[in-house]
Amino acid sequence: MRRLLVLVLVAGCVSPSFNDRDYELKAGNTAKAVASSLSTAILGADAARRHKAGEPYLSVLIGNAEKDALAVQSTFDGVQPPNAAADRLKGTVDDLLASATTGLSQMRIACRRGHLDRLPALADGLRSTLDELRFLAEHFQ
Amino acid sequence: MKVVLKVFLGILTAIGGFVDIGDLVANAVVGARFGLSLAWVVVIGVVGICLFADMSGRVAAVTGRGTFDLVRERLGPRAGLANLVASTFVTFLTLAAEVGGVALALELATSVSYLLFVPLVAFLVWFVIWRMPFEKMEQAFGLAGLALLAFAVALWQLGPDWSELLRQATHPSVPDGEGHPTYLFYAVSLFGAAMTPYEVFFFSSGAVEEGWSRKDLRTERLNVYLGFPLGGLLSLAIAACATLVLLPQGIGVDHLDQVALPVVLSLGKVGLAFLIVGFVAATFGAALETALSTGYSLSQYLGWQWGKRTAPREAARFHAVVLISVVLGAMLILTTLDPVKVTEYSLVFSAVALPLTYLPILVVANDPDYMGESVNGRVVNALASVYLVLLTVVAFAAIPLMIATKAGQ
Repeated sequence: MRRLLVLVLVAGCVSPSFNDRDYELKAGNTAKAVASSLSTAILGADAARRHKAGEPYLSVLIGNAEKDALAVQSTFDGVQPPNAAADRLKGTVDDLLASATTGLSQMRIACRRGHLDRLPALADGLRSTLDELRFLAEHFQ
Repeated sequence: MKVVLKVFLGILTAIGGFVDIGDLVANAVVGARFGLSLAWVVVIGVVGICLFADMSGRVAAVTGRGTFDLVRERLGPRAGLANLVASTFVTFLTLAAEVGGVALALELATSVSYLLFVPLVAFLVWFVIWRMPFEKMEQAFGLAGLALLAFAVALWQLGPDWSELLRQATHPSVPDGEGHPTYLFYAVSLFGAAMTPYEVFFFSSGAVEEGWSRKDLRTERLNVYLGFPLGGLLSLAIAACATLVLLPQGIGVDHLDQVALPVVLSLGKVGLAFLIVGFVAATFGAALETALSTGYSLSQYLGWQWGKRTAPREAARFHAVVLISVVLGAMLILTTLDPVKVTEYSLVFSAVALPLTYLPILVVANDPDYMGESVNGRVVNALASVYLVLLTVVAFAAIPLMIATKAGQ
């Protein structure tokens, strides 16, 4: 009875994922959303490289991109993988999300310290993560 | 010369005042996701708002009375109440979104959290309504809103393939990877943004505030039929900028800072400065209009004294409604509800309320007891009837589409 209660409570805490395909679609949508945040921040870094934007604007732009990526990561963490294959996919997506959010966090910190010259290099370090996220998003569309 | 200047100023004000937070968000979101394949909705929306704004302006100029005053008298209190409740709810949501929009624009300039600006913005909205003369208020924010032309300059600077943009706009299709329901949901949102009910209430009540008569009708028509379409072109420029810069990168627009990104990349800090001025002016101006619209509609329906021209002591209930609306709008945004999300939902509810707003105006504009010889002509009535059918279809489709697409996800 207690186990049943725990099961019901846990089920209420995570998004349902009925099968492999459903989980893959969720992974694809997650990758797409985080890729959008990364692209936003990378374009912001491009604006910084060309001295086209100042600290206040870039701070808001990159801060919001980071917030969005963290929210998506948290939602994906709450999705229950249905089987071992989904566990492997979760591992891959988790690694990419961690890389993305860490990179965005570094960009936000650099920006708020006024080190706009560091943004292009930090953005360049995120391009491979962006490519992989886009690949996942396209693959699991 | 003075008349020409007045007409010119009126047109510029109409262009600058056309775009508000709904247009900014909806056009950028749609451009970043669907390119210009929904441009046809902006065109239909602009024709519709011109048609009904002209009609309500004519009613105000001929009768010298506000829309709700006439709607209640002509259709009875029950029908008038349905109209009042629906449009006041939508106008209130829009007001909250505009207050949030001003705060978000100030955040872009300072990087200070927008929530800290909300009480200040709310106070300033009330203060300007209280102290600034109507005509000056309308002109100041309408003209400053022209700073949004930075979008058009940025578009030109981005050096687009114009023939490709034209092809997208003239050959609408659902892009790969997008479903028809999502495409239609955004069409409804864009339509709601172009035909927001408060624009008509403000336009007609403003005509009464400015004391328009039949001799002002020509000026009113020039403002509507030149100013609004040019404002519509500005909306398309916003969508085109997003199409060129954000769509290829797969960026979904969730924030006002992303709306500005194409201009920043194209025009740099000067462009951003213009844009922030434009954002503040457009959203602040719309906040004034929506706050006044709630006061106008409620006061006209209940038969209270209303208007900025009436001494506050004599129109105390009107001013109280305006003040309460501003305070409640600010409180809604201070709950930390995302202003962009509030905007998106206000557009959907706006679409739902459209027939309730525009049908009574059409009825009154056809009543010779009120309008005498200035009733609608056949062409206007035929076009307005087509629009009413369209508005009804949109109103019934809006909520199911919102549910089916999880609000466009």
